[in-house]
Amino acid sequence: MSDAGNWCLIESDPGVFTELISGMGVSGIQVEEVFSLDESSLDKLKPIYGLIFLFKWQGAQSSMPHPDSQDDANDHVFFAKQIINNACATQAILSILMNNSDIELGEDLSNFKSFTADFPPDLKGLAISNSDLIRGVHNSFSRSDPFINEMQDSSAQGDEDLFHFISYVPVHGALYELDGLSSGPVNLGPCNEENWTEKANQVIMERMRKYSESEIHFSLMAVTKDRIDTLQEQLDEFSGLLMSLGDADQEQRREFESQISVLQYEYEQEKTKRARWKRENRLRQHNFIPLTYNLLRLLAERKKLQPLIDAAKAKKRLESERSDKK
Amino acid sequence: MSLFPIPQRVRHLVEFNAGKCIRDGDQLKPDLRKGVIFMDQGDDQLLHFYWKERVGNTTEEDLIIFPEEAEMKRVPECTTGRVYRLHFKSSNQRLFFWMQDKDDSKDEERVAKLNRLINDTQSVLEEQRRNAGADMEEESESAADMLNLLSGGQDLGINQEQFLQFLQTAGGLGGTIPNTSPIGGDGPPNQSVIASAPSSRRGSGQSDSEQQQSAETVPENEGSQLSTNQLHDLRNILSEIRVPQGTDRTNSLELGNVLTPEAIRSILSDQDIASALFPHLPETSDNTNEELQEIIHSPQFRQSLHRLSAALQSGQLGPLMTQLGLDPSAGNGVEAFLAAIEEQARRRDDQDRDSMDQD
Repeated sequence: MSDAGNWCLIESDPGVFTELISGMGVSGIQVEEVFSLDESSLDKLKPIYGLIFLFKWQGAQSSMPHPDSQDDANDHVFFAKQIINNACATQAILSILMNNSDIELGEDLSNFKSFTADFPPDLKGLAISNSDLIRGVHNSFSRSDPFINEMQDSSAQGDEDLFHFISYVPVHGALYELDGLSSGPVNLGPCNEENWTEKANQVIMERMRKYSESEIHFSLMAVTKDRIDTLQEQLDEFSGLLMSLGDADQEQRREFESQISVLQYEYEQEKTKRARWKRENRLRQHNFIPLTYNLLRLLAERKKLQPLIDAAKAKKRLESERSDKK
Repeated sequence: MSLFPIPQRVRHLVEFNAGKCIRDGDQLKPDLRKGVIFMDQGDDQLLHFYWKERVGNTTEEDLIIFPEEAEMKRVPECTTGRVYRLHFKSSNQRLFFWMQDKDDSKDEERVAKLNRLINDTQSVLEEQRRNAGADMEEESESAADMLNLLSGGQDLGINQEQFLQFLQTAGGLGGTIPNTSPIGGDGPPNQSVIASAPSSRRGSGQSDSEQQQSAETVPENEGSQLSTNQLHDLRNILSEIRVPQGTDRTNSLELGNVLTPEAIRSILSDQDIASALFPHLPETSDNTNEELQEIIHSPQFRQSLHRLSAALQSGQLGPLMTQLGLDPSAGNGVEAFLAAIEEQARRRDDQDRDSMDQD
């Protein structure tokens, strides 16, 4: 069964995104949810390669470009126009991955990047939507039953398709806002490694301020270096330092040891979280129809199904009567 | 002092007289009160859809509509041809309205403008600013014309005098606020909308000078700290988008309603059932009762129940049913599915009994 052109809706979850990225062949990268826009929270997550802002879309509202913005951004910024609605999460992630030379893209994505380097934005977008690799990995995180996959029943998913993703990424000394529904990247002004997140935060807060009256959910995610790697490096560094100490440096030794235990704790936490993510992804990808059917069948065989059906119907009737009275 | 108070005319982005329709079981009946649909950009910068009852001047509906989220379309099954449906793509909610202006020639135009406003708010806003003081429709109706229009050639069984009487009392019909819950199913309303009470305008002396262009100022939220709470609540991002009014309500039974967490918990304590289900867990799972309980109570499993229910409601799962050993008709909705499983169990039961008798 080919699902040519068929992109499923996936959950906006850091665990999903992290595995999506590695599924495309990229190594050493993870996605982390950001709960607070203050610098100290973001500091813990560094190095950060880009920020993804997720919100309920209300018309194309690009941020005002910085007065010094240049128009030749397209030459050195990878920007793809969004062609498929359901692909917006993956597209936002790609716009960060493709704009960071520090990131090891792996063979497939590197090839994709050089293949599309000279394409205009809409052609880049088309290339993404036609990529079997990218679409395949994307779809693996969604509905897991082939019969249900074929039905692109968007109404069943409720409000998910109304969320929009925008990426913020520093490229060559300037901060860019990459929104697949806009015509091009928006240059938000010069920045450097240290201050770009702060600049991005200001822009994001501006957007949120506009919606602060209504109940809209936002989310912010950071594309970072794999924290397990980062923590491991830090642990190694401290071990090395510890070994180089003389016996006399007891105070210094104690300090290093306490740093190490903090890092080890964080390391364990991170491992636990990754295990949980992995488990959740397995469940997302699992076809639950056999389990559901067999559960229902076993209930029916023990004459326990009909009572449940009757109870459910009675409850519904009660609920609709209650709301009709309002 | 004027006997006919001339109301302040505020210019809305789109505005036209329309009444609501109420659901009565399977049928659609008109709410006879005179009303008006209008849309404006609120202080929250979002687009609002309002329905106001004209006599008491009370706004009864206030819905926020996001770009492309909703569409208004004519309901062709209504023989008077002036019933329209506002359909929300996000929640599948549907609201029905009937046009109350005497002149039906502008119906489509107004609805088109409304749809355009929903999809491209910015350009309509600009247009609005440019067309300040454009014409206001005159809405004088005559009872006779309206009666003719609405009856569509049918004999309504009332004469013009009765109709006039009816009109005069129509505005006084207070009554309960009808429920605007969504109409289940896509079937056309069974009853054609007759006896729609048009509005007989009194005091139609509204001059152009009454028109004012409503200034849409954007109030700056001075001193508002951006709450970091707005960034919280990650797990619920997808499921908890709260559009203030107009909640989603499916009328059909879902598998999740039948397989409630409480029910499942007690069922799984039966070891025979639990063991029989182990083979259907993900390969990487432990085959233990704890694992089974956790998985069945996981959001991923609940979501799959929801998706399966939706897929069953669409009636397209015939092939899947065959795979499960059920008749393809089992794919016609959740209840059909459950009934087929019941039937299958009953047959097996009979077969077992028969084979035992033969011993």
